[in-house]
Amino acid sequence: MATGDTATLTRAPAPRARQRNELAGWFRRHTFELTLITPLVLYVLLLTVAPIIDTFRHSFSAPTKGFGTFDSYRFIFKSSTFRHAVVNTIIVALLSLVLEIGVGLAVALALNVTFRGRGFVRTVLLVPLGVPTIVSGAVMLLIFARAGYMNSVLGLFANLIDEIPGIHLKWTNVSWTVAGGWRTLFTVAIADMWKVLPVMTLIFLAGLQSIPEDVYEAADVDGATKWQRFARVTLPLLVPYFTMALILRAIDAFRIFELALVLAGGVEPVVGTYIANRYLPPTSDVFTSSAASIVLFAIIMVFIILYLRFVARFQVQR
Amino acid sequence: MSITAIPRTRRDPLEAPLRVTFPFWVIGSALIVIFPLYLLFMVSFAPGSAVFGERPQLVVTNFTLRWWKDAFESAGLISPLIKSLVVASVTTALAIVIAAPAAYVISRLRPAIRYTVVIGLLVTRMFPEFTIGISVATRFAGWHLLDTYIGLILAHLIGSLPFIAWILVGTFETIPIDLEEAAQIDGASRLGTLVRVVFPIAAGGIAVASLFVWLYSWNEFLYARLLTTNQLTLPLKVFQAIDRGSTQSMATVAAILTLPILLVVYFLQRYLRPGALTGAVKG
Amino acid sequence: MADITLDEVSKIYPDGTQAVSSLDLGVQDGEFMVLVGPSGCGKTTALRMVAGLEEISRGSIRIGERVVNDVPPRDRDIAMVFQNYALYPHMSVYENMAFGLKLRKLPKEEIDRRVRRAADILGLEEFLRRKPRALSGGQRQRVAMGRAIVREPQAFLMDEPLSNLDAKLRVQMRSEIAKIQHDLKVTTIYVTHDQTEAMTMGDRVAVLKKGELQQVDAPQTLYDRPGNLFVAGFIGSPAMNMVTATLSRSDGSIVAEFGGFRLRVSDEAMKSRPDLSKFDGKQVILGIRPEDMEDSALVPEAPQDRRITSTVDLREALGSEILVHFTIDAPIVLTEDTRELAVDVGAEALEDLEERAKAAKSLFVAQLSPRTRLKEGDRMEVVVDTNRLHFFDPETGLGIYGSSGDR
Repeated sequence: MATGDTATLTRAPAPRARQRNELAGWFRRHTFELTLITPLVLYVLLLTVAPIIDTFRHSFSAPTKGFGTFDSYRFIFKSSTFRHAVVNTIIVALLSLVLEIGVGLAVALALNVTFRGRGFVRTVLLVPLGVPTIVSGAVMLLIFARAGYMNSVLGLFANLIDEIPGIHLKWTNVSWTVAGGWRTLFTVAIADMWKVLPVMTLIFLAGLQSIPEDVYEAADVDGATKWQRFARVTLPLLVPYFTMALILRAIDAFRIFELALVLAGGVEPVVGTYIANRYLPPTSDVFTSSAASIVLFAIIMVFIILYLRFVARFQVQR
Repeated sequence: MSITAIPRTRRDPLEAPLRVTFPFWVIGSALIVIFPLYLLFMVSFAPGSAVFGERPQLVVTNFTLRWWKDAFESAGLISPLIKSLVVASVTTALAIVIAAPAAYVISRLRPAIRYTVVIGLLVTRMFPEFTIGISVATRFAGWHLLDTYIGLILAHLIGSLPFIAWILVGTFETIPIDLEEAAQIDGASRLGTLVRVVFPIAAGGIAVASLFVWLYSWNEFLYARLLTTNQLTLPLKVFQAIDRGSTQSMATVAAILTLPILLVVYFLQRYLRPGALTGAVKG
Repeated sequence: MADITLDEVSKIYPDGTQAVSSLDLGVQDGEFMVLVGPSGCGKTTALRMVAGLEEISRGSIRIGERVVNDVPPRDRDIAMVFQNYALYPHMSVYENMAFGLKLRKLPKEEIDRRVRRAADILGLEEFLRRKPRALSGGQRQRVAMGRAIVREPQAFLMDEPLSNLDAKLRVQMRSEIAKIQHDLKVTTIYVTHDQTEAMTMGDRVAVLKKGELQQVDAPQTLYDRPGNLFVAGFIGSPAMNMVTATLSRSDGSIVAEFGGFRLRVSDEAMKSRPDLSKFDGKQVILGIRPEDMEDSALVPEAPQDRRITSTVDLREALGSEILVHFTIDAPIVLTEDTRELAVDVGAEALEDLEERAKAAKSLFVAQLSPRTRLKEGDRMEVVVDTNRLHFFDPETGLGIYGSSGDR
């Protein structure tokens, strides 16, 4: 500092030179921090940002024309499979989000009550935390195949009801996965729900535990019923956690791939499987697969923006 | 002195139904979660006759180890197992080495900048894996990284690094700067402060984060699918079994893939505090 | 051990806030120097600059013979006790204390000897194996002290080390720290906002306001001869009563007139404040400490020209004394210093101050003997110890003492 002062007295350095000095000084003071953060920055630039830019470029390119064409987008939007895949993706994503949040909240509410054996139940519920998506698919195949357990259980249930005099009920086995239509999409959504249930439970449990007991005590003193406690205290205070769960999960829900591949691969396409089909041999088309992946990104962005515009604005300020 | 009697509030209409249904609620939750896993392992030990036909059995008494023997002997399971293990472990180690120091620096940035950086990291996650993956696969093909361990490790780091950095920023933020200052006054260098004070205190958070990275890599399917032609990983092996194996061999390979996870999660679940995932929600 | 000199030290943050301005302060070898002032006065920043945790914007700091401006904290050979103790949670009490010595590569036996000695001084022997989280607040505080002691540094720097303890423990630790410092004779800079700590612990006390040094003196001198209105109002509890008064000469002595009362300034007070005669016929700010007043019923022989009458607004019995609040019909003193003092109490206090300035009323507090019979609403009369009146120049806010420059 002192040297800087005398320098200005004697001869003012050119502004450019001073800027360079300041920059050099800043680098010298922060060598340690820069060294620590550089590997991560480089990695993200080289293997995340650069590929994303590549894919954008590819999506606007075509084999003979090079960059600057909408051919790939035109191609995929003309394809009925792709349009079908887009609709399916949105249906599955919304369906699984609703299921996940509903069931996740229900389980978290149960675990937030003190009861004997809660620790054990909590352990049990967390065990499938890391179950691979592909395994989730395999398990659902066991359950939802024509000769699977879903039909078996429903059949048992129907037989039980059939025992009641005057009622006749018979369950005919249906094929859930290869049937196509809503049953198949439903199966995919169920599989997704099961896979992420522990995570959702953890998130909502964190939310519930963040609500201080005295808020409930205040509600009790004010004479709130259980339902009012839930609707007027718990839910509003959980909104930040809903937002987090929704945004985290929505991104994944739209990107659904493995489950759709395993459970609906033959009959109901989603955008993920469409991209894989275009990219992998025998099609091996980088351009249309890139375009489809950009469309998928756009869908995710639209959802998040809509959510933030219309839902998160009700967020309780804390 | 007289106190006006407060009339007792009317009975809560939800009280009784809740009390009655609560056990079913809990048991139902547990069943939804655990029953499919039970099925998976049960089928992998069941004779074929028991789980096929109009009414597959829910409980099997005559177990068989046939499918597990088959899986290890005939299906070429060892090499995928090794590949998955090595890739997951190396990915985890590299992810921590790269992300932990960076996360520390990010956690000590001014709040506005820190927030921007963290959001930036999360934005990379908004892109479909395919958007990144197909370009990466195309590049890796050019660099002869298909079907290699290193190629898959590099690919798995793409998803892991932002995630682990995000979690660790949350962990480091909770460590008071006082402690670093105390260490510096005690005579530690910047690096010494990091290695001897900050990282040990954050050990719990680092362990949880690396567990998640390990699980992610162990389970990862999409990059593996794009970067593999014949050196399968375990998840690809499961897919192969789904595609062309029997129900039992599918269940068995899936069970083999799942078993280490169940063990890892079971032993580490006491560290899985609800807050572990949600550090970014509050404040 | 060493002396510490701050020479024209300033701290200016990148956003332009000036936390410390041209601070000149010399701490002698082995001295216990307390930095005190309201929050935001720059005392902690000053301490952190000495520690090396904060860059020095201007000026220089010397520890012993060495200018340490560019020396990193680890090479300054100082030890610091933090407000939140900053104990390493992953280390036992023993390891916490040994950490700094290990880093300096001291032999194991030496480390052990020093840690055990410090533990002995602080009564921590039985807790050496425990982790900080298994300790009470007071024990953590001791460990933080121990960590400083084992280092045998050139200086101790303490940043409000007692502020997280409850009142009783704080009193106990206060004397313990003072005793330890006295025994070890390590130069110490101690930051606090608590004037009782400052008064009881410091060899000398430096009062800061908005980054500027107000006065450095021995505690009793600060109390008896505050250099300006700020120091006068900050030191002492309850705070000194201040009112604008006019001086005039009558019967050969000086009389201070305010709100219809006339107090004759004693000869003794005149002798210690020769400059007072220059204010003959002018306005001054008169300061009366609450403890320099007594219920006239208990001192019936006191002369008339030492009395103030009013009505009791509020009576606070504290057991050993009784505080009586009353109103005087004289304008309250509204200067930058008194504003700053009110801000320290809270936003409401500032509003209150301005409200009363408009109404030309002053609120007085007198600290009376518990034998007083005064009740709320009573007419009251108090006798003022006119040997202990304080006078300040309303223009500058400086205390009026002798021209020779002794404050």
